[in-house]
Amino acid sequence: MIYADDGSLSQEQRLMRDSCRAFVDDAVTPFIRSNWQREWDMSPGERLPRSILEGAETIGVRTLGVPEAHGGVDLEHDTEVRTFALISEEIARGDSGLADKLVQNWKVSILLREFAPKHLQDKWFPRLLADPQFLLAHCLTEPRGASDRWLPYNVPEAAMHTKAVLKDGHWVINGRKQFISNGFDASLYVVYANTDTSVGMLQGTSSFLVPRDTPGLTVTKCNETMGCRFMNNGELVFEDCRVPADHLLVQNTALGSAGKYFRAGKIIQAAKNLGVGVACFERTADYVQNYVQGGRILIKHQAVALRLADMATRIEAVRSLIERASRAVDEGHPDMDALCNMAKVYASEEIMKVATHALELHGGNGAMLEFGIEKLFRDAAIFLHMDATVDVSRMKIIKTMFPATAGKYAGPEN
Amino acid sequence: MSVLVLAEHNGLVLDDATARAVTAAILVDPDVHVLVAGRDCGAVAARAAMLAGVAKVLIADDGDLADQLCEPLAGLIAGLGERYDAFVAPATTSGKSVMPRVAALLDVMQISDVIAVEAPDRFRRPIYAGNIIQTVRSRDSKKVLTIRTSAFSPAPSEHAKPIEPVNFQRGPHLSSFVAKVMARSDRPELTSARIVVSGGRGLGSAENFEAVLAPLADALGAALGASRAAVDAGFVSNDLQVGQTGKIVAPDLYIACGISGAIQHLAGMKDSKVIVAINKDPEAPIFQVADYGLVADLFEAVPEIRAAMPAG
Amino acid sequence: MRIMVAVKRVVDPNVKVRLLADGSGIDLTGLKMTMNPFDEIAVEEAVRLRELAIASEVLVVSIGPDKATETLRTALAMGADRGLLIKTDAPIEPLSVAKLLRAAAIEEKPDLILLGKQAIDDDCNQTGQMLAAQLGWAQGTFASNLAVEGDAVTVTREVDGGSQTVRLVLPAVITVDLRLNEPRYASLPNIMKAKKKPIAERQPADYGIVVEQRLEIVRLEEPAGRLAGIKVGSATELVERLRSEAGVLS
Ligand SMILES: Cc1cc2nc3c(=O)[nH]c(=O)nc-3n(C[C@H](O)[C@H](O)[C@H](O)COP(=O)(O)OP(=O)(O)OC[C@H]3O[C@@H](n4cnc5c(N)ncnc54)[C@H](O)[C@@H]3O)c2cc1C
Ligand SMILES: Cc1cc2nc3c(=O)[nH]c(=O)nc-3n(C[C@H](O)[C@H](O)[C@H](O)COP(=O)(O)OP(=O)(O)OC[C@H]3O[C@@H](n4cnc5c(N)ncnc54)[C@H](O)[C@@H]3O)c2cc1C
Ligand SMILES: Cc1cc2nc3c(=O)[nH]c(=O)nc-3n(C[C@H](O)[C@H](O)[C@H](O)COP(=O)(O)OP(=O)(O)OC[C@H]3O[C@@H](n4cnc5c(N)ncnc54)[C@H](O)[C@@H]3O)c2cc1C
Repeated sequence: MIYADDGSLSQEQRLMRDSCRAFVDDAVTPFIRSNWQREWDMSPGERLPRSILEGAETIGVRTLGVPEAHGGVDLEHDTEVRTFALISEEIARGDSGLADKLVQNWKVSILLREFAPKHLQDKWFPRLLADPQFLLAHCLTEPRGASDRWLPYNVPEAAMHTKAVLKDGHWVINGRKQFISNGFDASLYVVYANTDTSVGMLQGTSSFLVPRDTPGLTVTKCNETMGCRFMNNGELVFEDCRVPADHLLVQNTALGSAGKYFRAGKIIQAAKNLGVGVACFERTADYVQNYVQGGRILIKHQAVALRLADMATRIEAVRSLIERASRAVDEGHPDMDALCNMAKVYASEEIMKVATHALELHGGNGAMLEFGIEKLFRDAAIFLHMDATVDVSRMKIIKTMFPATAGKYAGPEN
Repeated sequence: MSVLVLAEHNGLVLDDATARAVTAAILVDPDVHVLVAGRDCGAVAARAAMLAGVAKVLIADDGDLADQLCEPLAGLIAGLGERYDAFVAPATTSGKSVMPRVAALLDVMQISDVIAVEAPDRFRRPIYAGNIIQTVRSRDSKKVLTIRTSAFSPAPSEHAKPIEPVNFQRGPHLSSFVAKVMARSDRPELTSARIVVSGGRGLGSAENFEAVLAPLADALGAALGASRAAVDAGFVSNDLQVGQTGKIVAPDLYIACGISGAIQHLAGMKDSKVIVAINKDPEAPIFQVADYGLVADLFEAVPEIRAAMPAG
Repeated sequence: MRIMVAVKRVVDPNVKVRLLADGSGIDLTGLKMTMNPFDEIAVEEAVRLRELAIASEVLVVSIGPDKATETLRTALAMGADRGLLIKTDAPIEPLSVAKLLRAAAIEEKPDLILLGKQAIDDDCNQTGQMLAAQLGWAQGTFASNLAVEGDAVTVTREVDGGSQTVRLVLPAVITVDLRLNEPRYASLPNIMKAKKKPIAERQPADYGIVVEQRLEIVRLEEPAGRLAGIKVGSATELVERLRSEAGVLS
């Protein structure tokens, strides 16, 4: 129970899961447990020791999504998203911030392999592979506008504020992106910008490849978050930032084309979330079987035992939905969009409850930083917002099911 | 017929492990012979001849046996195969190396790490790091056993028995001795000490092992032991490791300091008569096996214990 | 030089095993299985020798049920070149394992055979020594260091009280100890690549070997657990109790 059923996995998936688990148990969990203060180091670059990403490199987990021709790894295509889910869960079981860091690389690599011209793939994939600290980021959210983009509201007034104009063979980008995962320390960014103000965002948004050292791009700050703190979320400003014309990935229809990214992204999000839940359960199950209160180990008190059962049930339910949704994405099932939003939103709310139980069952210890349970609670909370809020995810689900009517009344005011 | 016990020695001194193996061997068959193989090891043979229950000592004296290399030694023992029903050695690193080789030459299954002899063909032995005890009956006509020394008390001494030379036929030189580095210590030997003071990762450094733990061990006349984590971190040399893959000890008193109590460590010490654990983490699993637990910082507690000792 | 490495599939060392309710065997259902940790070290050493171009090929052999191919795959993902599964569903003792490995060695003609010093399930610590005897080769047990020099290999062994260095004439059998190296993880890309590496399959009968049980398992028991004792409040109390109550201090 609690874990993926071995029988449902291929031999390679099992071996990959085992390697990830060994790395997490050997390197990540001991680091997190003995360095709880590091989360609160206010120099973001120093927070996660370099050795952890170097360790991640030894299991080859930083560069999934890079095609084999470029020195990456070709996962089985027909189970790729399921494999992503399995691995991101394992890493997040150790630390969800670390998992965030890594999965951003996978997701952006998928976009690059689909849309970047060959010579740019030839240039960037080797650099990504060569440097364990090399991270990628995906920049969509702006100070005004994230939910609108997810829904999306396809009208000109909901368009991206960041704009790109083609001038003298270069795209000139102006605008601001916020809440960007890996935004603070990425080396290469995929940036979305408006390229046609006369139409809705589905017809007028383009995506670009922007290297970190491009003049006009400034990383203005690291957002200090409540959870997933080992991933450095950042804010970026573009001021007459010029990239060569060939750095355009998708013209005008970038949002629709990024479906591949978004779907895998939702599954990975849910799977990382599940990993946090599994960690909550493992820590709590261990605690209640050892800690004595009222002369008995906690689990002997019925109220405690029942909560643990509730945790296990929620975890299994989340896992089942993730499995169904990830299979749907792998197989291109017509319901895949609704299912992956369901998995994402359901995981976020259920694992939040699991984390609440963990906090409760640890008594006062649960509230103490050095115990590490409140960290799981904070990490779980982040998933309520990342990659769309709970309500917006629900809107997406119901709009997929009843496209003609659902939420129509909640449209923009005239 | 009889049982042959392979003597454990360094050329000069008979190891106490041999006396323990003799105790086990007598339970297989009361006619126990001891084989002393080496070069110029008459003193060892004389000592072995005094072990109670030993009917006779065989001595094989040859330069090729000087370094106790497994290939000639196994050949020698297997060559005596006709004359014995059972072959016994203590489960020391040399016993563990040579006896399976003997067993294969005789085409029998060895029984490793015997902790009890129930009948001449029935033995108890631990598996899964001591989490399960297996009782096996050997269907082989000849038995080859290694004995967990902590499970048998040493045979006492009595009047000397005869010593007989035995013929050794040299074979091809498959291996040769290059060097030996023995950790020198004035402390008692780990596997036979009455008290063991053991340290884990909690000690933090080699210097702390010397400055904090060693004085307590010396005050108690105890041997020093360590967890694998302490050995891996380089605090002490690897021959001090206690556990599934280190030494198995069962002293009267085992004091574990800064050791969490992983099952692999417990496998090496949980048969100690009294276990004391000192750990600052009240949840440490070591407390589940400790007769006396002290939740404390070892850097304060260990010197305090030392000070509270009568002689301290 | 060609190296053969024997690998065994065992219960994960972090799992605490329990007996079946009727005591007839060990309850392995649903338990996490893994490569014997000592065998991982043997594979790692072989792969390093291969990377240093001292070895030209690393063959990994496992004896066991179909599931043991997973253990072979792990070894291939660590860098071994090809695998051999000698398939048997019967429980198998070290003596038979050694016989099968000997048969494989006669066919494959390795110059060096590496094994873990013991399997952490049956804790026998026999197979390598038996194999060396059956082949009439030199053996080096409990290796913490090894260096190949021409037609010999120098092995540092962990022995009681210290370490011993011996020189073995090749071909030889070496069993490895924990401190020989730190095995790498099977990386994700290498796991995918290992999928394409060959694993041959044989039956014991192909070598004319009948797997026999020389030891009859009469009984299995869980040892009486130690009960947790008491927590003492201070060092002074501890010393006092050890003296008066436990009687272990004079
Ligand atoms: C840790 C973290 C990492 C992130 N990483 C990235 C990243 O890598 N790249 C990126 O582009 N973005 C990223 N984001 C941004 C994330 O996608 C947005 O924060 C999220 O989509 C919510 O958007 P918002 O913050 O603008 O909230 P708002 O859109 O302002 O939402 C505020 C509230 O209004 C509700 N709401 C808004 N619109 C509607 C509507 N039409 N109908 C009903 N309710 C509505 C929402 O549900 C919510 O309750 C990240 C965010 C976080 C917290
Ligand atoms: C910020 C903070 C401030 C505090 N300040 C003070 C203070 O000023 N003074 C003070 O004295 N204490 C203080 N406390 C301690 C606080 O009162 C306890 O932490 C709290 O009562 C829980 O007790 P516990 O930590 O021992 O948890 P436990 O009692 O171990 O509880 C663990 C879990 O087991 C459950 N449980 C325990 N026993 C039973 C049972 N019999 N039946 C069913 N379920 C059971 C609990 O509900 C909980 O889910 C503080 C705690 C915190 C976090
Ligand atoms: C195949 C295999 C074989 C193994 N064989 C063995 C073996 O033979 N022997 C062995 O020991 N291990 C063995 N291990 C390793 C074992 O699993 C553990 O990793 C090891 O025993 C942990 O050592 P430790 O208790 O010193 O370290 P930790 O588990 O890190 O524990 C350190 C302890 O010190 C305490 N501590 C820290 N500072 C202080 C302080 N100031 N005061 C008091 N307490 C403090 C901590 O609370 C903690 O409990 C093996 C593992 C495997 C996989």
